[in-house]
Amino acid sequence: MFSLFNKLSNKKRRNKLKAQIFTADAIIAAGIFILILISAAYAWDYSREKAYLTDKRDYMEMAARGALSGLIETSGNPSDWHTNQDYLNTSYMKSLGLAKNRPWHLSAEKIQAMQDWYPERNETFKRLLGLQGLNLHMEFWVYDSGFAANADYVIGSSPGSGIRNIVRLQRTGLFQNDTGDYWLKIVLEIWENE
Amino acid sequence: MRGYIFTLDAILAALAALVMITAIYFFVSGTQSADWSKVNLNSQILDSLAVLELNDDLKNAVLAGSNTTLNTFLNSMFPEPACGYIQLRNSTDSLHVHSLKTGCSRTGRDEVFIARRTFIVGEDIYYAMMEGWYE
Repeated sequence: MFSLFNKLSNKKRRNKLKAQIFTADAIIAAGIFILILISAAYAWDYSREKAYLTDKRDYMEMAARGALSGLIETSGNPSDWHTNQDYLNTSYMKSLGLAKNRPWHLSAEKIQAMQDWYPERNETFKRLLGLQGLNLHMEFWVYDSGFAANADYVIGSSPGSGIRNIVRLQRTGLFQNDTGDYWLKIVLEIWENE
Repeated sequence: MRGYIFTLDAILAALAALVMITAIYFFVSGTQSADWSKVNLNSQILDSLAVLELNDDLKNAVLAGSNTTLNTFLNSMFPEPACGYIQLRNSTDSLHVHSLKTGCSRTGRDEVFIARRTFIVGEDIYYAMMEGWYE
């Protein structure tokens, strides 16, 4: 009887001892595993965010270049869109361009029309330029024996100081009005709401 | 003893995993968007020659033998911090007029973008070559 009790007691002790070793290992392993999982999750999240921001920046750069190319190198479709604001209401208006009759020669009337109509029709203009969902600010600087203190034409509001991801693009054209042709500096800024 | 061996394995495995995660983090953080400033500089050079030619500034510079207009253009219209250099040559490649943006140097340049544009003065063919770079 005593011998049987001893056997059972020893067996219980052995079982108890095994369970304790297993628990300590398991806790350490689980701790390390969780640490690795957290590190992997952080790295995954960071790389996803980084890829998203890189893609976004590339998309904005290409969109800005496309918009500015369209404005400088084409007259728009229809080319007399600046004569009637109602064109902007209809599907008749296919594209937007500021060139008068050939690339780089920008029409003063078209720039003026865009500046005048932009506050009310900014969504239409942005759609025609392929800049939906983005904010836009443009400045036109006419060189006439020097630049004026302020831009000659301004379209849209300038970005605030807290905006980090701004695409800024500058190109050159010729400004055509009744008095002649002048060098023209065009600055485009686009950004996303943060 | 078995417990120690198992723990050492686990530590090594954990270290290896952490090293790999750190390496991934390091390489991912090194990736950058395309360098659009170079593409924009190239557009600026093409724009500059087109505008100067369409406005007859290249022709007038050859006729006058003067680089004043080109100097003014480079210093006023060419965006900071880019540098630019324009040379006008005839069909036999002899240099007629050239202009370098003020404050720029053509020595020690890393990467230079070049564009050419042909124009006619009277019955003679000329070409303008413009170089652009960042200092």
